[in-house]
Amino acid sequence: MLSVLVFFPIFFGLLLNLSSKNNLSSFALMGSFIQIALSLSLFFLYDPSQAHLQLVESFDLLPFYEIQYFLGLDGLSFWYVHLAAFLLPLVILASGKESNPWYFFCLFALVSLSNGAFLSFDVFLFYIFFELSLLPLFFLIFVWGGEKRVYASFKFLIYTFFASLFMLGGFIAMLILYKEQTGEISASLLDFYLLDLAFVEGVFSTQNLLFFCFAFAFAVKTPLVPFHSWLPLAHVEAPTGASVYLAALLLKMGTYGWFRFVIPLFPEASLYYAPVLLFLASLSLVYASLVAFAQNDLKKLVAYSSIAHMSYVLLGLFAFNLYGLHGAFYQTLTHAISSAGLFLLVGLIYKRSGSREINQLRGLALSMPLFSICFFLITLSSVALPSTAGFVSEFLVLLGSYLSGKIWVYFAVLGVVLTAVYMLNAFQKIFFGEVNKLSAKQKDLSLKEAFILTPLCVLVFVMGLFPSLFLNLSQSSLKPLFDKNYQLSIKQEPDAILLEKDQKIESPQEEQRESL
Amino acid sequence: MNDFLTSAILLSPLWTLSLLAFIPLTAKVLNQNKELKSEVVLLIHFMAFLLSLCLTVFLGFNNKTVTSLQWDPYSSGACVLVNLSALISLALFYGNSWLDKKQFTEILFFFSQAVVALSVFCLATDFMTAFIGIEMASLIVYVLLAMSQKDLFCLEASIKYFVLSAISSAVFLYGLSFLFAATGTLEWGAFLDKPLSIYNRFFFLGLALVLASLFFKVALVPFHLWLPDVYQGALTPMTHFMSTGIKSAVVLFLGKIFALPFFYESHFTSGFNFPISYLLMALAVCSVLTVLFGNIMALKQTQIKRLIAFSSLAHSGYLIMILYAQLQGAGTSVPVLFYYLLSYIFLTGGVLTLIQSLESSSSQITTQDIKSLFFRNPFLALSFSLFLLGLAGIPPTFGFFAKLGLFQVLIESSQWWILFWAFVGSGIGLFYYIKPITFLLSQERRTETPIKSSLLTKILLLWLLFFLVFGAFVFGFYF
Repeated sequence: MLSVLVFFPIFFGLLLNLSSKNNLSSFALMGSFIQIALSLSLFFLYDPSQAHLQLVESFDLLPFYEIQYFLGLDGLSFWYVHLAAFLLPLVILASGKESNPWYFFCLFALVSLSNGAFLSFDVFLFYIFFELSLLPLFFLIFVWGGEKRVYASFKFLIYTFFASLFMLGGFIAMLILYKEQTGEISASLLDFYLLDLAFVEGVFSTQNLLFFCFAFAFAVKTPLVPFHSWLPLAHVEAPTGASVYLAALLLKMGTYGWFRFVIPLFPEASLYYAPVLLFLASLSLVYASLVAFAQNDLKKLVAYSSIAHMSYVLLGLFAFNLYGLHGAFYQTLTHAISSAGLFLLVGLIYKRSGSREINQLRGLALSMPLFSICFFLITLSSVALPSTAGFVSEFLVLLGSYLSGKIWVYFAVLGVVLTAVYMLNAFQKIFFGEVNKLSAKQKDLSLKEAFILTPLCVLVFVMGLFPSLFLNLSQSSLKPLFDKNYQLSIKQEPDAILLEKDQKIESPQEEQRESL
Repeated sequence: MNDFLTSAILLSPLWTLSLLAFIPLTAKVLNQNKELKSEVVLLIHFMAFLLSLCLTVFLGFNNKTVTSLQWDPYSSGACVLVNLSALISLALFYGNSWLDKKQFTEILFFFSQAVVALSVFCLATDFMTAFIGIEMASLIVYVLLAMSQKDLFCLEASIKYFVLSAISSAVFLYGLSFLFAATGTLEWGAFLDKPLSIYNRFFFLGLALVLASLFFKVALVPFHLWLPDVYQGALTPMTHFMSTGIKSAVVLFLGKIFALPFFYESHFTSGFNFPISYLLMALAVCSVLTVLFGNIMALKQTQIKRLIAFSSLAHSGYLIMILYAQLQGAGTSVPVLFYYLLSYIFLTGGVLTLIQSLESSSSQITTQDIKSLFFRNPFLALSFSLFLLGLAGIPPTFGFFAKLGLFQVLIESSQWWILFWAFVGSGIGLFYYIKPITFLLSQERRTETPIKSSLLTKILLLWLLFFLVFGAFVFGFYF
């Protein structure tokens, strides 16, 4: 089943080349709905009460390096598969003049490869998907991008490729360590969890050095502030579809790396360096918010707000308590929805007026009432107003990081205020005030565009009012993340599961007996 | 008589190839110097190479010695690599439009003899035989470089290579004389029986000179100046043979030398190891400089073949890094070295096949010439980008798994600084490998006439693409 989820989109993307030009987008839409149906079927196959891997598929791929084909699903990766499929029809519908079989192929390939990265549990397989997912996005930016697309796409590619080479080095080092410790060779992540990595306070111990490798790779991908400069550029130059996927999925691969690799593999080092990462996260929150406030280009503003929102994830994660953890995980999902919505909206406005400048757009609320309502709803989620999606996650994150007791976390609260300042300021300038010539000409949403935006606006409130719908399905994988025997809970043998089930069946009977 | 027969059987890969190559030449001479059909000549040579390849594989696991040639898996593996590279070059010779078709028989004849000479070099057990092998191969390469006069670059290349390579051979011989003076023998086996007192300054001077000459052949950084001009000027099949065949032979020969016990401190009980540590340091510095220099210089090239030349320089650096890891005690470095060379042969073969198929219009392909290739010939453009991505080491191509091996041996022997520079090199490399792909996608020359590709090119490309995608798995099971 998981293999189908991973490989169906990319093959369907290739098939798109066969369709005629007229019904290309309807053909692509059909593929995206099939992918949604496939991923929805996971609701029946996946048992959310279990913490261990499910639907495992594994066989040997390359014995020379002990590379296995090893796919599995757990609560951490569950939602990302749905997210990738859910955004596909929206992006296809939103694509305008760039619609072309290869454009759609790149989008489908992105879905495939990100699914591969989220589902693979062999470290080298993960690395292959992780790296390969850069290429479709590179070509999306390079071929269909804006004016400075060459510079932007190369910067994006080199930055992320170079950073993840360090992760590859870390993987190989762990492979060799595993061989030294157990005498067997394995590149499975589950085996790496069992590694005994020496930790000494300071800088130079095995665990610390490995931690640095991984932290660097994922800090670039997330991105944290000193390593963020590729992101705004890539976002601004990318076509709408690529921006949506960059924000909603590619950045999530970075945060997923913290959840899946850094915390469980290097628990001591993560705890030791948590203050540093909390500091960096607070810094990038405040810095990105301030820079976003100064932007005139609407898309750049959304890009910087993306950086600010991603730093909440690290704030929550490195607070090392369950509030923060749940908040951080939920933030990855809510940010995906709200930033996807914002990028789609900016794309729509750019397609109409040919401008994204905040200075040039005035009083759009009169000419485009429906559009401004949608924009307002998604902005609210971004600002984290209660009852919208952003509120739940950011509240949990702030609660968690407050409990961690670091002083600079208080600055993070400043970030919430700043977010409201720059988002509402931009909203006020664009939609209210005197109507200028450019704005007066614009037409309101068409039926197709309304169809793109409605699901997002609905989701903003569903996620805000019923967070347990989403978190319950991931909870059993999130809860043991900080436990010492996390590796055991994820690697539970089938026999053990059966035993547990038996016990469960027995216990009600006992209760009945007692009551009798 | 019996001895003669066994040695004849053991040497069969060499003499079959050498003698079979005479057939077309004799036929041409008997036919009043009229050129035969090039397909026939190609077929005969192709069969000869295949036969020699099969015999090499068959004899390779024998561990037998004939005079000063030895069959063992390592040496025969080197011969197989040379033969594989030669097979690709052979196909390229046939498709090359700049070749003088009247001399096709002679060129292939010389080429086969060069391969035989390189095989001798691979199988040698002493320095003198090795010298004869490499020198014979180089002599033929001078001739082959000079025989095709497509343009002035070609002449420049042949003269440059001749002068510099002759000097490097002199240095090799000079080094051998020191080695002989110090030890009284040039056989590797005999070094081991000698007392430790042979490791005097003369010995190390000789060794350093021999290594310098070999570094010239692989083109490590202080000895690299000839490389870009020669690769650019040479005919594409010759570029391929020099950058893959000769290089793999020399790199594996270096690996053989580095396996000798006096490179390891444990061999010296009296603590006389101090020049060896200098040699090791020189090796590390050379490899890092080569990787950086090759990658950085490739950034600004507009001639595609020159770009490939600098990328080949960078790859020599990576290969020497693997050897360095071997010296520092990485156990898996030998299979990794073969793995890397195999991937390199196939990937470079692919890129050069593409360059040659574009070369019909002009002898020097620039980035202008490949613009909009995606619209003019999608198959060529797609395979071009795949091969470039393979050279860059993007997963899941063969090139990636080779790079993975490089990183693995460096980590295994904990050479962190070299690993860091290998990362930096790979990062820079990505840039100039992706850049030609962006030219392929450009819209500028979209409407110009489509480029045609011949059947042989298509077959060769498909075959190489197969190895690009599945090579890692095919050979992964072999090692």
